[in-house]
Amino acid sequence: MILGISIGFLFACDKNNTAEINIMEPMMNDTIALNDSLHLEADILGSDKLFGYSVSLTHTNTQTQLFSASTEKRRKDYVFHSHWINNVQDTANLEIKITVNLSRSGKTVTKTMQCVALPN
Amino acid sequence: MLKYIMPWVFLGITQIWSCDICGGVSGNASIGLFASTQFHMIGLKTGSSSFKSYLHGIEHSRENLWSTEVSCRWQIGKRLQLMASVPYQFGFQTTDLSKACISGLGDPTAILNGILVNQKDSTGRVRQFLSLGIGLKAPFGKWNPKSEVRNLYPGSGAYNILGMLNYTTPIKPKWTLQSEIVYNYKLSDTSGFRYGNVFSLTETMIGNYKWGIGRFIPGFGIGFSNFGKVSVSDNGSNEMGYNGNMLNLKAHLNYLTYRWLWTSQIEIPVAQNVNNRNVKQKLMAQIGFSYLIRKK
Repeated sequence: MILGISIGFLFACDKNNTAEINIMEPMMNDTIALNDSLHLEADILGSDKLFGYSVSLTHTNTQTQLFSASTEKRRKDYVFHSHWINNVQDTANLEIKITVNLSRSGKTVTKTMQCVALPN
Repeated sequence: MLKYIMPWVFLGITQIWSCDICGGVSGNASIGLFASTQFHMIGLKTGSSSFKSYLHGIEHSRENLWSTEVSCRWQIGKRLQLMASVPYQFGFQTTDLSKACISGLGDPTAILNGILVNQKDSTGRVRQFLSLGIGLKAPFGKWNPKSEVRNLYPGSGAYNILGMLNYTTPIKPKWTLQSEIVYNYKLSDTSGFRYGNVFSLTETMIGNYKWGIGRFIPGFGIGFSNFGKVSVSDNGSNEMGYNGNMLNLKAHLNYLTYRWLWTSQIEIPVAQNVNNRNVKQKLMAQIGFSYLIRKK
């Protein structure tokens, strides 16, 4: 019974967990010239402790992943701040995708943002 | 460092790294507690300081700096001391998504300290000691102006000019009070980046007790530091902030024998607002030892 209560408590903690993802940069459809830096900045505000998040940057024309990183650190809030240097030789549609893990059972919330890499 | 970054890099055509959040928060140089002594010294010190950086009020990264330095002091007559040190530093930064470690030789520092007043009583105890030091930190250490984590590099890439005023006077039979003012004027590096100047004022009570074969020398103090604004001058001067103030409590434990000086020091910030409280310094600690060469 104790085991049952413990497991129940464990899942009850994150059952209604929610997270707000705020992407500060880039803005929708921003353009990045060749060799310029794409500034990626976002914060994630959870209603309770979250179970990590992942960030990816994808070249949507070719479905090539240009950058990906993730963490499983448990925190209520996260902040992310990085740069990517545009060295894609063609005009490319880019998608930034942030996925937050709300629970151990795989419940997630995702936000995406599109921008364009230019060859000059 | 590459082994930490490589998992991030795909296809070999992209680069990504963490931004530098903390803003050149580094301690000032000091003449130290033994300014009024008259022996030559050569020693080794090692210490650590740690920081947390915040963005939007959320913890973004943790930085830890480990530094070991070889230092020496040479008494040039009764009125002049020449001090020099060369550090080797490991800088670590951890964010949710990355780790970075940068190590190498830091910038060497040389200080010429002139003793203006050195009054002693009939027992040889210092009644008043006043010295004025001028120092130079040269940009010979490892640095990288293009790195987003340039603060982790052991070198700053720029010359620093130091001015130091040190006054010591007894306040009780076994205790003296040392007051030290240090101003660190920082020049720009070749990329136009300039760390802010640092002013610090430290008051330390220093005890002196005979213990075993030597003397036990404890110290307790408080230090105030003001960090100036970081600036970039590629298209005219552009101040970037990162400035602020810090108040530290300090404790020293030292043991002095005929040939050796053993030192330890901790500093705990009690109030700070550097970079609008987006950088917080944590505990700093240092231990060291010096071999003493008595003047003939």
